Amino acid sequence: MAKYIISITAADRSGIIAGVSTALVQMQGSITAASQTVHQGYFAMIILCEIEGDFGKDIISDKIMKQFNFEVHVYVTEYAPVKSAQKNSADNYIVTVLGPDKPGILNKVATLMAERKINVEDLYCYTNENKEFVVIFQVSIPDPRTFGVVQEQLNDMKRQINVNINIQHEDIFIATSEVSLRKQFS
Amino acid sequence: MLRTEDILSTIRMLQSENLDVRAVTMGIDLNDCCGPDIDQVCDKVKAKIASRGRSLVKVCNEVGSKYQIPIVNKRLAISPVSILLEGHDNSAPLKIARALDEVVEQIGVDLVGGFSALVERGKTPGQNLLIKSLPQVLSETKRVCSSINVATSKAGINMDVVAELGHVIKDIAASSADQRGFGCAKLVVFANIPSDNPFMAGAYLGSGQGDCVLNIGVSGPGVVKSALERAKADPNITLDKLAEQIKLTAFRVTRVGELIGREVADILGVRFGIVDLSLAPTPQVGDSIGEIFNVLGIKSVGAPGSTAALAMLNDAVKKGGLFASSSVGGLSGAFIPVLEDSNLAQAARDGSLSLAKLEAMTCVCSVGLDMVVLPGDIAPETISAIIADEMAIGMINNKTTAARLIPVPGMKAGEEVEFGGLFGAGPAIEVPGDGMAKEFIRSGGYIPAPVHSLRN
Repeated sequence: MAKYIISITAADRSGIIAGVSTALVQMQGSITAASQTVHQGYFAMIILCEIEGDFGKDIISDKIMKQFNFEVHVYVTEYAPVKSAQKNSADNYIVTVLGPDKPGILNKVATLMAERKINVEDLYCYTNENKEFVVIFQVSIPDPRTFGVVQEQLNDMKRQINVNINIQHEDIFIATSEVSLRKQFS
Repeated sequence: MLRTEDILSTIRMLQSENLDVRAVTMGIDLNDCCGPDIDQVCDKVKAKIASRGRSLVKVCNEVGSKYQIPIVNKRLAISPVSILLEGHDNSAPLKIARALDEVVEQIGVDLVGGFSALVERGKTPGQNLLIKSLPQVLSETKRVCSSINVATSKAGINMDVVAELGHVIKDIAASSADQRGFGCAKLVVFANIPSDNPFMAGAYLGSGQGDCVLNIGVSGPGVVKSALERAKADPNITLDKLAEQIKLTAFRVTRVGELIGREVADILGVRFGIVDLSLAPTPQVGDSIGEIFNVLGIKSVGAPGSTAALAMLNDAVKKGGLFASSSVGGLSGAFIPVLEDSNLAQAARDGSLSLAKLEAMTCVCSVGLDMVVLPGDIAPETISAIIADEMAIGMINNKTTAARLIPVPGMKAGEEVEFGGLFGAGPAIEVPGDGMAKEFIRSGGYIPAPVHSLRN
């Protein structure tokens, strides 16, 4: 049994997930994890799957593409377990950036995180109805002492490039947005 | 993954709508400090408060900065001081009050509540001492707050004490005349006092609450107002939908308070008590109950319609809070402290908010006649009569009501007083019929407990 990471992109339309999963079923494959999103009409999906037969990356890719009579990009790579980038004890924070679209905003924040060895676990960005650029990073900060420094640097950046940048503990968003508080207290 | 709209609306709530944790109040039971020597009692009180409360301010600041949400007030609520006074002479109350003032200043706390007596049926010698000491204690100490419970729905109203308090309040005003009667802002007279209220000046630690407990007061009129303003972008929105908005906002605000409160309690190793979600205004623009009325479509608070709007607001706040936390307690509703809310103070100036309308509004909201400035020459019996009316509302309706009345020496109706900071500024309110109820108040005795059936 071999494990693969398959990424698929295409102009969005109905039937893409059905086509991909049909090809996997035909190869006696099983999806272990998957996530999918659509941005401005473009579909993107990443799948972790296990496949019984000895097909190889190119054949898997061909079999998936053959399901479609329109252009679908498929990239298959063998899966090797990787150590999680962060310790489990890390606290999660949400960094939001909101303001007029200026070149390099996302890059500035991402570079700052990289310099501090802070992993970006999730990222979402789009332009809202007021034509403002919105970036939401979910980051994990392993050492709580780093938080103050990062916050200070983000505040400096906020003043320099004049966009609204905020960093906030994830627990606050869970508390205000989810039905259960999730965090357990003694 | 959290929804992006939820993330952005939470950010908005934190950044521009004045969401904060209004009060973290540590309740400390002092009954084990009783003793025959008053100086030793004072030492024990100071030692116990210092040991329990030493880290309160530090931990609150740390948790506040972790979550980027300020904890505005860190306070103490103690078990009723009258118990410590039993068996002592009339020098004891001021000694204890001074000891409290000193120790809370040391630990960085601005107010301590619990210089209190529960006298709905009668007074003990200690309670008598405490009430008599109020003019001196509230004018000579800075941080000590007092509450006197004079009525409950089960016991009725102790009219002897109500009559006495009219004089006591005048005396407090006179002895703190150099601060324009400010001593009176530190005394709340209650019906059905809650034993777990974290908000000052009426906080105290009731019996049955344990040795040490942490209660949280969350507020957020600014957040509610902004949510309503957004909802009102739809010109056809109906009141039930606005009530739903208030409820959802109250849920979110309560959640933040509970998260932070529980974390503070966890770090301090203290039992977490309750979250009190009350819309408590400050004189700051954007942090006002009055402005919520304006958004709901009532141009000046106190105009006809205000009681209905307040009833809806108060109820929706409770509903949101109750679902958000299983530990909701205290007062949990909307406060209408006239001086502390610049919009209410303006309505009082304009004449739309009268004493009669305020009293009517207290039938449907938390607390009662709160931070109401009265003319300085008001008869003590009239103060008692205003208190009696407010207590009757609480007694009959099985709810907490309270009166925090400030007759400012030398001031006439319509003249302005300014206490500054959170206590705000506003006019003395006109009291029609001053002196007309002297005979009624002087009768004394008590008003018997009401019937609890045939509720019409």
